[in-house]
Amino acid sequence: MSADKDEELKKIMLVEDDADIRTVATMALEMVGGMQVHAFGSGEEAIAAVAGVAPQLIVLDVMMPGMNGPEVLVRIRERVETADIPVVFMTAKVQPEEVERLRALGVLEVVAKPFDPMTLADTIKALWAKRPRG
Amino acid sequence: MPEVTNARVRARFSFSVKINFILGLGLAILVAVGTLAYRSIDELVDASRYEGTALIQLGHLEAFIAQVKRIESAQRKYVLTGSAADLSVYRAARVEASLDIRGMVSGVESLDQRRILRELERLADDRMRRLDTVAEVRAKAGLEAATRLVRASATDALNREIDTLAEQFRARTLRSLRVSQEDAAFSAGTTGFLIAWGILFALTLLVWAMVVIHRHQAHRRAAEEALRASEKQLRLITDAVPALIGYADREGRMQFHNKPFERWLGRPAERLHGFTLRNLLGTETYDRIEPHIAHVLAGQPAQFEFPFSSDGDRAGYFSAQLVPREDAQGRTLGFYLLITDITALKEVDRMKSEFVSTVSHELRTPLTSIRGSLGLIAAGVTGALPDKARQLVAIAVETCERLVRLVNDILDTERMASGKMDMKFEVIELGKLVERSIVANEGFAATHGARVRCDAGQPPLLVRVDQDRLVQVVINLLSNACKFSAPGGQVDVAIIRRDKWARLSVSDNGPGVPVNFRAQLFERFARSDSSDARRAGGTGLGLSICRGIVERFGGRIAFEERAGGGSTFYFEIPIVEQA
Repeated sequence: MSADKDEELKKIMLVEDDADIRTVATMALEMVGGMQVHAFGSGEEAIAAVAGVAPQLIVLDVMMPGMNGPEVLVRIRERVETADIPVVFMTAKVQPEEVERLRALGVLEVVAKPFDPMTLADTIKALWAKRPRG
Repeated sequence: MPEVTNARVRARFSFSVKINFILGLGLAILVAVGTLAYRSIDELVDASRYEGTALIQLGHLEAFIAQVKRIESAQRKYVLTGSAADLSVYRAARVEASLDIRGMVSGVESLDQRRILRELERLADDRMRRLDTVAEVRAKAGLEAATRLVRASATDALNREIDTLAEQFRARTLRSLRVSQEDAAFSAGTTGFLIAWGILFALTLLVWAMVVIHRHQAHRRAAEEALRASEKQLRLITDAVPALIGYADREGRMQFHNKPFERWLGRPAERLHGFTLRNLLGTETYDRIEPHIAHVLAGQPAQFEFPFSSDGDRAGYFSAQLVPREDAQGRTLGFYLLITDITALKEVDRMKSEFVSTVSHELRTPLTSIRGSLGLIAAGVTGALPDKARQLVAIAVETCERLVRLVNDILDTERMASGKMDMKFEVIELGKLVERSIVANEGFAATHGARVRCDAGQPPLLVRVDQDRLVQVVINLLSNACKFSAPGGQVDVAIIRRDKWARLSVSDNGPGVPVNFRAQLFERFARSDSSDARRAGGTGLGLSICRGIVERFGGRIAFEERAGGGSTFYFEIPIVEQA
């Protein structure tokens, strides 16, 4: 996916199995960050929809029933049309070696839960601005 | 064991001293008795020689006296007969008598005896000359003239003098002989007495030596028995210990092992003793632990963990401690092994870590919803709140933050306790890192109305640390200082150099640390009972985590009262000198 240098982050896909967190994160990104959020409750749903949604960035929970975050990432990277979409992991597993392991999978960053809803959008936008350009 | 060894050393020392003493004394007695015997024999020989000489001299004296009588008889016969034959007999006897007396004089050693003999010789010469004169008168003037001359000469007085001197010589010789015999007898008696006592004493020494040897052998048998008992006891203890105990020499050959060692390796003693660790553990395991063995052979104790399976089943986990054994010169002779099975501990540790991780995750998940929801409500994203509701929501947000911090601190504490807190060490400038921490803490300081002033000092100090962990320490100290400062108070941060250490101090003007709380300030879950501390809402883990991190940097953390009120928390870490 080629991206314009000054392209604004508008469309995000959020994959989170916990409905409450999904709601809070969606509200934080939409109401505070002014972004359009496409939220999904499972990895399978997200994979099925990602090509159609064509998000600029995906915020992906790590531990989910069924297909977990890293598995979803692999599937997204396998498909040509979604392979270049930047991904940010969001997880409550915050031990350093776990964070390192997730970073090594080729994501922009790992955001820890719980997050501050008032700064989450800014954090995501800052990561978006630092994404590698192809 | 050491007591038995000491007793054996003492017994051996005592035995050695006693036997050497007995041998020395025996030798001294032998030398003394030998010397005395030699001297006594020498004296006896001298006495015997003197006795022979004295008897010969007495014989010579009697012969001389008899010769003098024969000369007188020959001279008188010649005077009466005037025969040339009688004259010739007289002269021959005269010459013989002169030779006898000279021989006697030269054979006598005593000066007194020699004086007597010389006097006797003189008198005899005088007597001979008178006889010669009579013989000459007889030859020239005839019998009557010679007879008159004989009657006129006072020969009787001269003969008496000769007899008196002969008697003196005889008496003195006999007295000397008696004295010599008495001396020899005394010497022989004394020597015999001393030899008898020497033999008696030597026999006593011999008996003593036998007693000492017998006792020594009894002691040795007892010591050997005690050693065997001690070894047996040690063997029972080491066999009963639920750990592998062994000793290997420099070549890594097992020279001692307990029963659990045999069970662990599944080998009988005869297929274990003398075998190398490489042979016993297999090349793969040995290659893994070889650096530690090299370490202990260099004289340093080693401790490590390693997986091992003796029968190809699932590998267990083992903790090994290697302790060098050195001789008096400090050369490593081998090393002791203490190996314990920590498979169960590892499993418990893994379960604990997993439990803490899972609990942490499971707590964070609902906290994310709560924190997120409250954050949005408090910020007014969902609409303006009445004042009281906003106040309550703010309390809920703060409490939620405390819960998050508690979960984080518990995770850190668990990681530190289990030694899993990995550090990415790099050399950084301490001042810049502190400034970064102050910036990160700005919001928190503002919340508490505290101003932070920093004096980073000059020149910049380099330290080797894990940046994130050091920031965690600085932020913890800063947030504590802000929390406990009086409203509008000032927090001073300073970096100074103290010898080879960089000291970072954070000072506040708060109420200080209660005296009865200072001792456990850096302990886990240490919290002051003061209402200020309760209000500050700490987890009781922050400072213990700070101490753990600073100690991993090779430094120390401490507290001191600040002059004029308040507290100063500081840590010191080693400076990396610029090349």
